[in-house]
Amino acid sequence: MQIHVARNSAQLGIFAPEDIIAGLSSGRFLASDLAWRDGMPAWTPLGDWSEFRGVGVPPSPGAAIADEPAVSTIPWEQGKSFSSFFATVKLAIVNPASLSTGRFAFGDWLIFCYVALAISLPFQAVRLAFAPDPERSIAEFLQGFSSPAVQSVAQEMLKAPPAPMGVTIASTIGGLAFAPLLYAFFAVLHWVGQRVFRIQVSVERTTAATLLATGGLILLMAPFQLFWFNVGAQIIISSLFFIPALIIYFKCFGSATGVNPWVQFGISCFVWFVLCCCCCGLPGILLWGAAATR
Amino acid sequence: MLRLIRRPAYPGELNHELVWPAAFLGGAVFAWGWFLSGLQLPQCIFMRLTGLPCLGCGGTRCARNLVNLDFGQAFLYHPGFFIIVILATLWTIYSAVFWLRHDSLRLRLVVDPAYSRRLRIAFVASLVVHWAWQCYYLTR
Repeated sequence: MQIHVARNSAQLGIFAPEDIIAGLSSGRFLASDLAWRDGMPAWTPLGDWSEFRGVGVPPSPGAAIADEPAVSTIPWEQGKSFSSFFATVKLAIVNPASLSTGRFAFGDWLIFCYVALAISLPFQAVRLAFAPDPERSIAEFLQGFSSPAVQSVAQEMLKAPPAPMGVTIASTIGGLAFAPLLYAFFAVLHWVGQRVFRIQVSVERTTAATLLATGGLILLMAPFQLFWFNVGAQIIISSLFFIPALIIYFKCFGSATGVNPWVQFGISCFVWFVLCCCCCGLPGILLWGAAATR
Repeated sequence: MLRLIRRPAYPGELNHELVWPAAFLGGAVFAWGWFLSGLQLPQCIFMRLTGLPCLGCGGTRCARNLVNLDFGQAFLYHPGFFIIVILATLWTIYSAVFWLRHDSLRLRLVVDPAYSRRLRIAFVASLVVHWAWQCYYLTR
């Protein structure tokens, strides 16, 4: 019966028992490598298998340490609570370099992003009260400009009938419910971009890092919803915060993925350029990227 | 050559049952919102330059037909995208069952190393056939 072997979060392959014995003797496999075969409940180090005991070299301390999960210093990965949530956001802004120690399991950060969205809900409610139809509010703001081009844009925006309040509330809640999944989708596209540039970061780490950086940004941007009582103020403040927000986002994202933030920014620009220029070309790039980095 | 097995996840293994369904659902919501907005995509640059479709051409029309539940037309516009969407849907359903059952064994596709080269050749050949179909169907 064939045996599956894994080391350091990567599968080495499937081997026959005699290959494992030869590999243990030659040093190809370590006694600390995890192995599994049909019928077993969990992965077990090769050194603990009765048929391989006494074969090859004993597990080296270094190899044993390599298979142990890394110790994360990110509060959210140590325990999930509101205090750890805010501590993580603070850490991401003040000391993003410390994010590199994270395990970045997707599920943890999906919850993190939902918590950030839940905290932003009261701010969304205030926005709904002040500007139930943001497009209309923006159009009315644009009408104040004398430029004919801006005026025509405003007129075009005002043509659309205002959405009923029920639809607005439902679409806001629905948007919040699906938002982390949407971020995950764009994170997968970003991972494709990383593959094209031969940057080896796992898809799980990329998506988790995206959810961390986006969750932090959602929390930071949430108070800006309070400025919707004045659309002009809202637009100016959002524009002023745009570049600092980009810096915070890519510093977090870069540290979490272990890649230079400028490189991640470049990849992001590339992915968006490809997406905007030729949305359908992405599958082609994915195939090319996957083939090129084999 | 190719077979499905059920096995536990090893420490640090990618959570395929969570990442891909989340990204697929996010992509589906994005596509639905995009079509609802009525926004149009610019013409493919490769198509404009060469007069021939690129590997992704027809994908948007396929997605639009899928949203309208016209599966036959969707397949004709882009068989590859159609198959990917069907497989992603099946994987999402499987993942939902996996999480609801609190299963410890995960479904994984195993490729026999002896056949991996043949499979790669078959994959490239299927891309060529796919592109030939696109050149025929999308430029009629």
